[in-house]
Amino acid sequence: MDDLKTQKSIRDYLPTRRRLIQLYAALLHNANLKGYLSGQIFTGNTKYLCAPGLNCYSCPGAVGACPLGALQNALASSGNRAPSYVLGILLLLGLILGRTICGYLCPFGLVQELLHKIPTPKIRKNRVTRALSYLKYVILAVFVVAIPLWYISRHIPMPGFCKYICPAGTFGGAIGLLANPVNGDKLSMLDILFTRKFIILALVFTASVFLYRPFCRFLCPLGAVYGFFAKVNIVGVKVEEDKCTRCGLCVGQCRMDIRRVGDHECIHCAECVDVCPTGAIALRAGKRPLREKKKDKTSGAGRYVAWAAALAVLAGVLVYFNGPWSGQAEPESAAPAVTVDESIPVGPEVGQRGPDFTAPLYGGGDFSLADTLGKVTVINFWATWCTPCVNELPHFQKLYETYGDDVAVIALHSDLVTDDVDAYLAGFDYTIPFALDDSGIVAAYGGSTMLPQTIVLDRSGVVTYNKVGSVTYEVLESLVTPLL
Amino acid sequence: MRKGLRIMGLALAVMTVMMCLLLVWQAADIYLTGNRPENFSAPGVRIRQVYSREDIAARFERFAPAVYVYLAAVAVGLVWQAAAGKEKPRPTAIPPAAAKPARHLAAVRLVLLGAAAALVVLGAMNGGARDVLVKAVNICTECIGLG
Repeated sequence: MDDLKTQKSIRDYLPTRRRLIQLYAALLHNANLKGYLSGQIFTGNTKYLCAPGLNCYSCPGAVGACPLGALQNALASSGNRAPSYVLGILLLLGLILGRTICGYLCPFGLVQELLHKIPTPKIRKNRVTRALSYLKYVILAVFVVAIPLWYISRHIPMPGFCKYICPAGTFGGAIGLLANPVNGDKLSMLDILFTRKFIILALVFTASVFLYRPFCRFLCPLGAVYGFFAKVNIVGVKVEEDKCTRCGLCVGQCRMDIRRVGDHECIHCAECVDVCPTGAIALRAGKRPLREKKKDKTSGAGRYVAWAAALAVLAGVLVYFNGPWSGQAEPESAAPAVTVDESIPVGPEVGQRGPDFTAPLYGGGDFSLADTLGKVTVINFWATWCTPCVNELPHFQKLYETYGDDVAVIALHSDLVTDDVDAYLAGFDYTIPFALDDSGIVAAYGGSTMLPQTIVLDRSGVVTYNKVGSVTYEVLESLVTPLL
Repeated sequence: MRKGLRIMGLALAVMTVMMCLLLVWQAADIYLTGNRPENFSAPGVRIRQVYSREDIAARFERFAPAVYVYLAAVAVGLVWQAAAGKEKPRPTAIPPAAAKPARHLAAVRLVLLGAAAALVVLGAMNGGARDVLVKAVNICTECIGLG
């Protein structure tokens, strides 16, 4: 008897199979473990694919694209091309898994569930939480759809949800990167935006202690999207209507704001399966049951084989992403030609001589850094798809207009081009030279995956300023005037 | 044991709220302090950044004992809860809304599957897939809240 008691206690203490799957999925989403050590994000080709769960693609560990971030950017680019790829992937994920993704695969859902483990009094679902559960549809409509579409007319890519709300981006992306001392200089960028998003993150985490998955229930637009597929998703909790007695125990024990099992609020966690007195509820993939009451479809040897296969896949993925051959994308072209000065070392650091380069200008011709010797030179790395980049271009234009005779300005577009840059520039009256960084100039100036980046060279071509992050006109002027 | 756990739970709830307030207060204080006029040499020209590793470390050092006490209390609470065994919430009977049987489900799924595949192929052809890659391999500093 005592043995039985002990066994039960240990079993209760062990993680459930769903928790193990959640941990497994979180690790798969963030398989680039060496990114946490290097402080750099993964830049391999697996980021062509959207991961199913909410997992910021700027997180050092992320190996896939965030579907929500990709959707906002696709909508922001919908003036140029239909956002069919992301919509197709969301349709596919929603159709096959729907909100089962929330229950089993989403890393941010896992974080909230773990916080909910802290033994405090809990707030149960009620009319208020049920009403709040519709807020995520408003957020989807306003921040994910309306804001990016509204900003198209102003030629500004604006992922509203990422910028103003997403706590997964703050947690995985911003804090994930800043936690590494390698990115210590990026702290200089932090201001009101980070403060606001950090407070949102703190509130979401605190709420998670008292409420079950508050972000998923009230705020997550990705869950709202997957919820649209509640009636058709293939994998999920299904009820056999002829066995159901409408006792309501399933809905009563559920911590989500569902009205019935399997509706748009249901995350298909299958905790209701064992509560159902008639065994009417089962987690199914199509018609095949994956979990039924007191029955384990993959029992005995089958279960071990399934776990062994899953672990083998995980091991393979971890080796692939973290091995010396891991799929980091190589720069598409060779390093730029660099003029070596014997007296001052060439390099991107302040006090070093800026590496020379030549870049093709939009509108024809070439820009050569060597031609600007004798002038203070301001180099700006930007891209049409980078919101802070396009927002700060007017400051460079104003600087160019004010100090044009003494200051050379060059705006170098990233070699990752998603829009017709000529057409984009035609929508403005910029007179500063715009060129394409087609030879890895950004790498020569110490940049990598973060935009915008601004560099100031003095009249002899020595770097006096080199930082990632937005600048204002006042900052530019204060950097340039002492060098004149 | 249950009563003790409840008291512990209440204490943890208060501590959790306090920790949240502490974090919010510190973040707001860092921001407000960093934006004082003495941190600018001219309007818009900053001479001292808002957040610095030294400042954050100094603040954390000041509040570290509180954080450690909180983490220890959480650990004790979790162990205590495990020792006491799970108190399973008693299911309340709530009549579920009637489910409308999905009609022609297989056909609908097939159509949606075809549409999804077509959209993905179309997207791969019109450059949408490359857009996803470009955004995912570059960090938009504003998008993740860096600024």
